Amino acid sequence: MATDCRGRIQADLLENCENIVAGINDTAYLINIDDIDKDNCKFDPDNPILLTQLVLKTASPALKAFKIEGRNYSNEHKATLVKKTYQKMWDHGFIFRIFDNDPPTKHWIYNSINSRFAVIQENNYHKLASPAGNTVFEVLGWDMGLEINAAERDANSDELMGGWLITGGPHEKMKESKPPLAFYVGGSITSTRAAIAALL
Amino acid sequence: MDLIQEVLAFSRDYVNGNQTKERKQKIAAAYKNLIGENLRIGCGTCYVEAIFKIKKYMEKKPCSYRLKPGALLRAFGDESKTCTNENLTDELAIYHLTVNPGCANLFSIIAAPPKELKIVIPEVKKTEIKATEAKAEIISSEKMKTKRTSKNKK
Repeated sequence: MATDCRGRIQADLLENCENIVAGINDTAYLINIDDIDKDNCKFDPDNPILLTQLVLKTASPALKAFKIEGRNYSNEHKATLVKKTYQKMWDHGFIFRIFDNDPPTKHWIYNSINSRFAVIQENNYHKLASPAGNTVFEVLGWDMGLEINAAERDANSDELMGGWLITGGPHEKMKESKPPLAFYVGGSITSTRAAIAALL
Repeated sequence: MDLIQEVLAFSRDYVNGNQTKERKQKIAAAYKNLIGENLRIGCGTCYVEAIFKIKKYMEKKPCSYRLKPGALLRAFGDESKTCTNENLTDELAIYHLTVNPGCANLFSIIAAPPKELKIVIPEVKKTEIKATEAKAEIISSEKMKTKRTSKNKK
Protein backbone atom coordinates (compact mmCIF):
# COMPACT_ATOMS: atom_id res chain seq x y z
CA MET A 1 0.00 0.00 0.00
CA ALA A 2 1.64 3.22 -1.14
CA THR A 3 1.63 6.30 1.05
CA ASP A 4 -0.66 9.00 -0.25
CA CYS A 5 0.61 12.56 0.25
CA ARG A 6 -2.96 13.85 0.29
CA GLY A 7 -3.68 11.56 3.20
CA ARG A 8 -6.51 9.65 1.59
CA ILE A 9 -7.68 6.35 3.06
CA GLN A 10 -6.56 3.61 0.72
CA ALA A 11 -7.48 0.26 2.18
CA ASP A 12 -10.03 -1.60 4.24
CA LEU A 13 -9.39 -2.30 7.88
CA LEU A 14 -11.02 -5.60 8.72
CA GLU A 15 -11.80 -7.13 12.07
CA ASN A 16 -8.95 -8.88 13.84
CA CYS A 17 -10.11 -12.33 14.84
CA GLU A 18 -7.40 -12.66 17.49
CA ASN A 19 -7.64 -10.99 20.87
CA ILE A 20 -4.99 -8.31 21.12
CA VAL A 21 -2.66 -8.68 24.12
CA ALA A 22 -1.71 -5.67 26.22
CA GLY A 23 1.66 -4.70 27.59
CA ILE A 24 5.31 -4.88 26.70
CA ASN A 25 8.04 -7.25 27.74
CA ASP A 26 10.34 -6.57 30.69
CA THR A 27 13.38 -6.53 28.42
CA ALA A 28 13.98 -3.55 26.16
CA TYR A 29 17.02 -2.36 24.24
CA LEU A 30 18.35 1.20 24.16
CA ILE A 31 20.56 2.43 21.32
CA ASN A 32 22.28 5.81 21.29
CA ILE A 33 20.65 7.60 18.39
CA ASP A 34 23.98 8.76 16.92
CA ASP A 35 25.22 5.17 16.77
CA ILE A 36 22.56 4.08 14.26
CA ASP A 37 23.84 3.87 10.71
CA LYS A 38 20.69 5.30 9.13
CA ASP A 39 22.23 5.29 5.64
CA ASN A 40 22.26 1.50 5.71
CA CYS A 41 18.99 0.89 7.52
CA LYS A 42 16.09 -0.22 5.33
CA PHE A 43 12.34 0.14 5.35
CA ASP A 44 9.77 -1.98 3.61
CA PRO A 45 9.24 -0.42 0.17
CA ASP A 46 5.44 -0.52 0.60
CA ASN A 47 5.24 0.46 4.23
CA PRO A 48 7.29 3.33 5.69
CA ILE A 49 6.40 2.23 9.22
CA LEU A 50 8.03 -1.19 8.81
CA LEU A 51 11.76 -1.17 9.54
CA THR A 52 13.43 -4.21 8.01
CA GLN A 53 17.08 -3.57 8.77
CA LEU A 54 18.77 -1.72 11.61
CA VAL A 55 22.56 -1.59 11.73
CA LEU A 56 24.97 0.42 13.83
CA LYS A 57 27.92 2.42 12.62
CA THR A 58 31.41 1.01 12.51
CA ALA A 59 33.57 2.27 15.36
CA SER A 60 36.25 1.06 17.68
CA PRO A 61 35.37 -0.19 20.25
CA ALA A 62 32.31 -1.65 18.51
CA LEU A 63 29.02 0.13 19.13
CA LYS A 64 26.18 -1.83 20.65
CA ALA A 65 22.67 -1.73 22.01
CA PHE A 66 22.13 -1.79 25.76
CA LYS A 67 19.66 -4.06 27.43
CA ILE A 68 17.47 -2.95 30.31
CA GLU A 69 15.43 -5.39 32.30
CA GLY A 70 12.45 -4.61 34.44
CA ARG A 71 10.37 -6.95 36.50
CA ASN A 72 6.82 -8.24 36.35
CA TYR A 73 5.70 -5.97 33.46
CA SER A 74 7.25 -2.86 34.95
CA ASN A 75 7.99 -1.24 31.57
CA GLU A 76 5.33 0.98 30.04
CA HIS A 77 4.83 2.50 26.64
CA LYS A 78 2.41 5.01 25.20
CA ALA A 79 2.20 6.57 21.74
CA THR A 80 0.03 9.63 21.20
CA LEU A 81 -0.82 11.78 18.21
CA VAL A 82 0.03 15.46 18.75
CA LYS A 83 -1.68 18.12 16.65
CA LYS A 84 0.61 20.97 15.63
CA THR A 85 -0.42 24.02 13.63
CA TYR A 86 0.08 22.48 10.21
CA GLN A 87 1.34 19.00 10.80
CA LYS A 88 0.54 16.05 13.02
CA MET A 89 3.38 14.56 15.05
CA TRP A 90 3.78 11.59 17.40
CA ASP A 91 4.70 11.48 21.03
CA HIS A 92 6.56 8.26 21.97
CA GLY A 93 6.65 7.57 25.67
CA PHE A 94 8.69 4.89 27.38
CA ILE A 95 8.68 4.45 31.16
CA PHE A 96 10.90 1.96 32.90
CA ARG A 97 11.67 1.13 36.49
CA ILE A 98 15.01 0.23 37.97
CA PHE A 99 14.82 -1.92 41.07
CA ASP A 100 18.17 -0.97 42.46
CA ASN A 101 20.07 1.97 43.87
CA ASP A 102 23.69 0.87 43.84
CA PRO A 103 26.50 3.15 42.59
CA PRO A 104 26.60 1.66 39.04
CA THR A 105 22.82 2.25 38.73
CA LYS A 106 23.16 5.86 39.86
CA HIS A 107 26.11 6.34 37.53
CA TRP A 108 24.06 4.91 34.66
CA ILE A 109 21.22 7.33 35.36
CA TYR A 110 23.61 10.27 35.75
CA ASN A 111 25.25 9.46 32.41
CA SER A 112 22.02 8.76 30.57
CA ILE A 113 20.06 11.90 31.41
CA ASN A 114 21.77 13.86 28.62
CA SER A 115 21.63 11.09 26.04
CA ARG A 116 19.22 10.61 23.16
CA PHE A 117 18.32 7.06 22.36
CA ALA A 118 16.05 4.83 20.32
CA VAL A 119 14.25 2.01 22.09
CA ILE A 120 13.50 -1.46 20.76
CA GLN A 121 10.62 -2.86 22.76
CA GLU A 122 8.94 -6.23 22.59
CA ASN A 123 5.16 -6.31 22.62
CA ASN A 124 3.38 -9.12 24.36
CA TYR A 125 1.07 -9.25 21.35
CA HIS A 126 2.37 -11.84 18.94
CA LYS A 127 -0.04 -11.98 16.03
CA LEU A 128 -0.06 -15.36 14.38
CA ALA A 129 -1.46 -14.24 11.05
CA SER A 130 1.01 -14.36 8.21
CA PRO A 131 3.74 -13.25 8.54
CA ALA A 132 3.77 -14.41 12.14
CA GLY A 133 5.50 -12.15 14.62
CA ASN A 134 5.59 -8.84 12.78
CA THR A 135 3.69 -7.22 15.65
CA VAL A 136 6.30 -8.17 18.25
CA PHE A 137 9.12 -5.63 18.06
CA GLU A 138 8.78 -1.88 17.79
CA VAL A 139 11.29 0.94 17.56
CA LEU A 140 10.62 4.21 19.36
CA GLY A 141 12.34 7.52 18.77
CA TRP A 142 13.63 6.81 15.28
CA ASP A 143 13.84 10.44 14.11
CA MET A 144 15.42 12.24 17.03
CA GLY A 145 15.59 9.71 19.82
CA LEU A 146 13.96 9.83 23.19
CA GLU A 147 15.48 11.54 26.18
CA ILE A 148 15.05 11.04 29.89
CA ASN A 149 12.52 13.65 30.93
CA ALA A 150 12.13 12.54 34.54
CA ALA A 151 14.00 10.39 37.00
CA GLU A 152 12.47 9.94 40.39
CA ARG A 153 13.31 7.95 43.49
CA ASP A 154 11.01 7.86 46.45
CA ALA A 155 12.83 5.97 49.18
CA ASN A 156 9.57 5.12 50.93
CA SER A 157 7.67 4.18 47.82
CA ASP A 158 5.35 1.27 48.30
CA GLU A 159 5.62 0.43 44.62
CA LEU A 160 9.34 0.64 43.91
CA MET A 161 10.69 0.15 47.42
CA GLY A 162 13.32 2.80 46.85
CA GLY A 163 14.02 2.02 43.21
CA TRP A 164 14.03 4.49 40.33
CA LEU A 165 11.21 5.52 38.03
CA ILE A 166 12.62 6.75 34.70
CA THR A 167 10.40 8.51 32.16
CA GLY A 168 11.68 8.63 28.60
CA GLY A 169 9.99 10.75 25.98
CA PRO A 170 10.56 13.07 23.03
CA HIS A 171 11.72 16.69 23.01
CA GLU A 172 9.34 19.20 24.52
CA LYS A 173 8.43 20.75 21.16
CA MET A 174 9.89 18.56 18.42
CA LYS A 175 8.09 15.24 18.20
CA GLU A 176 8.51 12.16 16.05
CA SER A 177 7.19 12.22 12.50
CA LYS A 178 5.85 8.65 12.59
CA PRO A 179 4.20 6.34 15.10
CA PRO A 180 6.50 3.67 16.62
CA LEU A 181 8.06 1.65 13.82
CA ALA A 182 7.41 -2.05 13.47
CA PHE A 183 10.73 -3.92 13.41
CA TYR A 184 10.79 -7.13 11.42
CA VAL A 185 14.02 -8.41 9.90
CA GLY A 186 14.42 -11.10 7.27
CA GLY A 187 10.77 -12.06 7.05
CA SER A 188 10.63 -14.06 10.28
CA ILE A 189 10.58 -13.52 14.02
CA THR A 190 13.62 -15.83 14.36
CA SER A 191 15.67 -13.61 12.06
CA THR A 192 14.47 -10.53 13.94
CA ARG A 193 15.60 -12.00 17.24
CA ALA A 194 18.95 -12.97 15.68
CA ALA A 195 19.39 -9.40 14.39
CA ILE A 196 18.65 -8.00 17.86
CA ALA A 197 21.12 -10.46 19.40
CA ALA A 198 23.70 -9.19 16.90
CA LEU A 199 23.17 -5.65 18.24
CA LEU A 200 24.19 -6.63 21.75
CA MET B 1 47.12 -23.21 32.15
CA ASP B 2 44.99 -20.51 30.56
CA LEU B 3 41.79 -19.82 32.52
CA ILE B 4 39.55 -20.64 29.56
CA GLN B 5 41.38 -23.88 28.85
CA GLU B 6 41.10 -24.77 32.51
CA VAL B 7 37.33 -24.20 32.45
CA LEU B 8 37.02 -26.33 29.33
CA ALA B 9 39.11 -29.06 30.98
CA PHE B 10 36.81 -29.41 33.99
CA SER B 11 33.58 -28.62 32.15
CA ARG B 12 32.43 -32.24 31.80
CA ASP B 13 33.15 -32.95 35.45
CA TYR B 14 31.33 -29.76 36.46
CA VAL B 15 28.22 -30.64 34.47
CA ASN B 16 28.25 -34.12 36.04
CA GLY B 17 27.91 -32.60 39.50
CA ASN B 18 31.32 -31.63 40.89
CA GLN B 19 30.38 -27.96 41.33
CA THR B 20 32.70 -26.25 43.80
CA LYS B 21 32.76 -22.56 44.63
CA GLU B 22 36.26 -22.17 43.12
CA ARG B 23 35.12 -23.63 39.82
CA LYS B 24 32.14 -21.30 39.76
CA GLN B 25 34.44 -18.32 40.24
CA LYS B 26 36.69 -19.55 37.43
CA ILE B 27 33.72 -19.98 35.08
CA ALA B 28 32.51 -16.45 35.87
CA ALA B 29 35.99 -15.00 35.30
CA ALA B 30 36.47 -16.90 32.02
CA TYR B 31 33.02 -15.78 30.84
CA LYS B 32 33.82 -12.14 31.64
CA ASN B 33 37.18 -12.37 29.81
CA LEU B 34 35.74 -13.99 26.73
CA ILE B 35 32.28 -12.50 26.29
CA GLY B 36 32.88 -9.17 28.04
CA GLU B 37 29.78 -9.34 30.24
CA ASN B 38 29.26 -10.22 33.86
CA LEU B 39 27.83 -13.68 34.27
CA ARG B 40 24.35 -13.80 35.76
CA ILE B 41 24.49 -16.10 38.73
CA GLY B 42 20.87 -15.98 39.88
CA CYS B 43 19.53 -18.99 38.01
CA GLY B 44 20.13 -22.68 38.64
CA THR B 45 21.69 -23.42 35.26
CA CYS B 46 23.61 -20.18 34.74
CA TYR B 47 27.07 -21.73 35.12
CA VAL B 48 26.29 -24.70 32.88
CA GLU B 49 24.89 -22.37 30.22
CA ALA B 50 28.04 -20.25 30.52
CA ILE B 51 30.21 -23.33 29.95
CA PHE B 52 28.30 -24.16 26.77
CA LYS B 53 28.60 -20.58 25.59
CA ILE B 54 32.36 -20.60 26.21
CA LYS B 55 32.68 -23.93 24.38
CA LYS B 56 30.71 -22.68 21.40
CA TYR B 57 32.73 -19.49 21.29
CA MET B 58 36.03 -21.37 21.35
CA GLU B 59 34.93 -23.80 18.64
CA LYS B 60 34.08 -20.98 16.25
CA LYS B 61 36.46 -20.69 13.31
CA PRO B 62 38.41 -17.44 13.07
CA CYS B 63 36.75 -15.16 10.53
CA SER B 64 38.40 -12.37 8.52
CA TYR B 65 35.10 -10.60 7.95
CA ARG B 66 32.96 -8.70 10.41
CA LEU B 67 29.40 -7.43 9.98
CA LYS B 68 28.09 -4.19 11.42
CA PRO B 69 26.18 -4.67 14.69
CA GLY B 70 22.60 -5.67 13.90
CA ALA B 71 23.24 -6.75 10.31
CA LEU B 72 21.65 -9.98 9.12
CA LEU B 73 22.42 -11.56 5.75
CA ARG B 74 19.97 -13.88 4.03
CA ALA B 75 19.96 -15.90 0.84
CA PHE B 76 16.71 -16.36 -1.00
CA GLY B 77 15.34 -19.84 -0.37
CA ASP B 78 18.30 -21.09 1.66
CA GLU B 79 17.97 -20.77 5.43
CA SER B 80 21.44 -22.26 5.98
CA LYS B 81 23.03 -19.14 4.50
CA THR B 82 21.37 -16.78 7.00
CA CYS B 83 24.05 -15.28 9.20
CA THR B 84 24.88 -12.57 11.71
CA ASN B 85 28.23 -11.91 13.39
CA GLU B 86 27.42 -14.82 15.67
CA ASN B 87 27.78 -17.47 12.95
CA LEU B 88 29.63 -15.63 10.17
CA THR B 89 32.42 -17.59 8.50
CA ASP B 90 34.77 -16.69 5.64
CA GLU B 91 32.82 -18.99 3.31
CA LEU B 92 29.48 -17.37 4.15
CA ALA B 93 30.91 -13.87 3.80
CA ILE B 94 32.41 -14.65 0.39
CA TYR B 95 29.16 -16.32 -0.71
CA HIS B 96 27.05 -13.27 0.20
CA LEU B 97 29.52 -10.80 -1.29
CA THR B 98 29.59 -12.79 -4.53
CA VAL B 99 25.83 -13.24 -4.83
CA ASN B 100 24.94 -9.75 -3.64
CA PRO B 101 27.86 -7.30 -3.83
CA GLY B 102 25.53 -4.57 -2.50
CA CYS B 103 25.66 -6.15 0.94
CA ALA B 104 29.25 -4.90 1.30
CA ASN B 105 27.65 -1.88 3.04
CA LEU B 106 26.75 -4.13 5.92
CA PHE B 107 30.32 -5.23 6.59
CA SER B 108 32.55 -3.34 8.97
CA ILE B 109 35.64 -5.44 8.15
CA ILE B 110 36.25 -7.03 4.76
CA ALA B 111 39.39 -9.08 4.30
CA ALA B 112 41.20 -8.55 0.98
CA PRO B 113 38.58 -9.86 -1.45
CA PRO B 114 39.52 -12.67 -3.86
CA LYS B 115 40.19 -11.44 -7.39
CA GLU B 116 37.04 -12.91 -8.89
CA LEU B 117 34.91 -10.89 -6.46
CA LYS B 118 33.90 -7.54 -7.91
CA ILE B 119 32.81 -5.81 -4.74
CA VAL B 120 32.98 -2.18 -3.80
CA ILE B 121 34.36 -1.73 -0.31
CA PRO B 122 32.06 0.80 1.39
CA GLU B 123 34.64 3.27 2.71
CA VAL B 124 35.07 5.11 -0.59
CA LYS B 125 35.94 8.80 -0.57
CA LYS B 126 33.36 11.19 -1.98
CA THR B 127 35.68 12.34 -4.75
CA GLU B 128 36.16 8.75 -5.85
CA ILE B 129 32.42 8.22 -5.97
CA LYS B 130 32.03 11.28 -8.16
CA ALA B 131 34.77 10.00 -10.46
CA THR B 132 33.07 6.62 -10.88
CA GLU B 133 29.72 8.28 -11.55
CA ALA B 134 31.30 10.47 -14.20
CA LYS B 135 32.91 7.42 -15.75
CA ALA B 136 29.58 5.64 -15.81
CA GLU B 137 28.04 8.56 -17.68
CA ILE B 138 30.84 8.61 -20.26
CA ILE B 139 30.47 4.88 -20.82
CA SER B 140 26.73 5.21 -21.28
CA SER B 141 27.08 8.10 -23.75
CA GLU B 142 29.66 6.12 -25.72
CA LYS B 143 27.28 3.22 -25.85
CA MET B 144 24.60 5.55 -27.14
CA LYS B 145 26.97 6.77 -29.86
CA THR B 146 27.81 3.22 -30.92
CA LYS B 147 24.10 2.39 -31.01
CA ARG B 148 23.40 5.43 -33.18
CA THR B 149 26.27 4.66 -35.58
CA SER B 150 25.14 1.06 -35.91
CA LYS B 151 21.62 2.27 -36.70
CA ASN B 152 22.94 4.74 -39.32
CA LYS B 153 24.97 2.01 -40.99
CA LYS B 154 21.83 -0.09 -41.31
